[in-house]
Amino acid sequence: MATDDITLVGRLRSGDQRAYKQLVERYQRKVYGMALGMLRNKEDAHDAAQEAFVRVYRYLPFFKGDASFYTWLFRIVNNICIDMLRKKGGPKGRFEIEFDEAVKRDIAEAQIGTLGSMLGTNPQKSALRKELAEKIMDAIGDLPENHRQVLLLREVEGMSYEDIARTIGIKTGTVMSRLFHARLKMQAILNRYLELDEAKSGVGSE
Amino acid sequence: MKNPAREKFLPQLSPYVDGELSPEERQQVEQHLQNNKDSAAQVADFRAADALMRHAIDLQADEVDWKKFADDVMAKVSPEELPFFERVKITLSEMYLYQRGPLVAGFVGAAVAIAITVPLLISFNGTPEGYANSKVAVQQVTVEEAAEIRPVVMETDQGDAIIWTIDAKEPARPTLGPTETDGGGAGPKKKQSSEENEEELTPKEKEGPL
Repeated sequence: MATDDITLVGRLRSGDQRAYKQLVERYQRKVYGMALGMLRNKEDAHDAAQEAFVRVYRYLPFFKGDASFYTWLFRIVNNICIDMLRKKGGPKGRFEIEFDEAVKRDIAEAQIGTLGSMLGTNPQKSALRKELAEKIMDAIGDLPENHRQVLLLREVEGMSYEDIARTIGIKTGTVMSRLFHARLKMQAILNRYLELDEAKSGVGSE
Repeated sequence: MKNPAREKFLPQLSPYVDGELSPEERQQVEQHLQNNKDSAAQVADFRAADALMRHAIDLQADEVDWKKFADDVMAKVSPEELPFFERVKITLSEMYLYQRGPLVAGFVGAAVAIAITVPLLISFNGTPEGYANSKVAVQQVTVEEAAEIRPVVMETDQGDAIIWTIDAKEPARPTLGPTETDGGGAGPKKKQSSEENEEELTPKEKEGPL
């Protein structure tokens, strides 16, 4: 049975370098995945992931255990990615979109039902190729920054809404709203990338 | 969207997929999904896109040499201590994020304490009145050379000593001259001694040399 994070953190505090390496090995893929989704560049993601682990080591004395270790870790990753995006002068102002108006547009663009019917929920069955994976990463990168954050924290890290809220420092309701928009946008972008034209109307049948 | 039921349930589809709804909400959404094919298709789309995304990120992560990555990280860390200001900044940041209530309460308490204490300190410009006045505001100590005083030393169990001086004059002692009694003791007793002595002086002595 794997040693839990808090035990490893305790061992690291007492100077056990192997515990630190175990933490790195446990989270390195997810940290990289989060950074890659945020930064859209493999080298930058690699650097950001390494920097995150270095900061974990340096800042460990300040980790009080108020949150879980992985929430704390991904807050560091998130901050590093945001800093890197700012330094690179990425697009600004692509932030909060309120629900009412934006949702109609997103729904219209999402082409409901096409992804689910053609790809299913098992990506292995859909023979996901490397090119498609790259297109999906591009699609993630096309999302507004604040939507991308919540989507990655949810899908890559599997965080609960409460943990996402704590990691980014927003309300749980905002997480819900951003995630919903992010998914609609993702759906629309993927449809476009996959050239699925079977648009359906948004009118329900209930 | 023209369907009111779909509009109502649409924001709940994403938390439904994530398992973030309460049992009651979940039941309501599932009932809605049975009656609305667009919402059901939407849920299927969300799940498909989520699965695609997770798999795509996994594929990208497979390209990295993770053993080298971990070794590189290990080579970068060293047990050096952070600068003081950075430690303070991080500590406050952590407290703000995870212990915001107690932190704010602490600041408010400190502000109230300052608001009460500072005006009091400003208005306090001297020795407090009362018994302790003579003890804490002694300006000068003199011993009258002519006084007959006798120390009374009271030793405490902590090794301290309380020393009083008392008028050494014996009650039944014959009349003393001014030089012998003036200034002996303290307070009312001293005053009484002076008055007694004054009555007993001869007119010549009282007037002094002419």
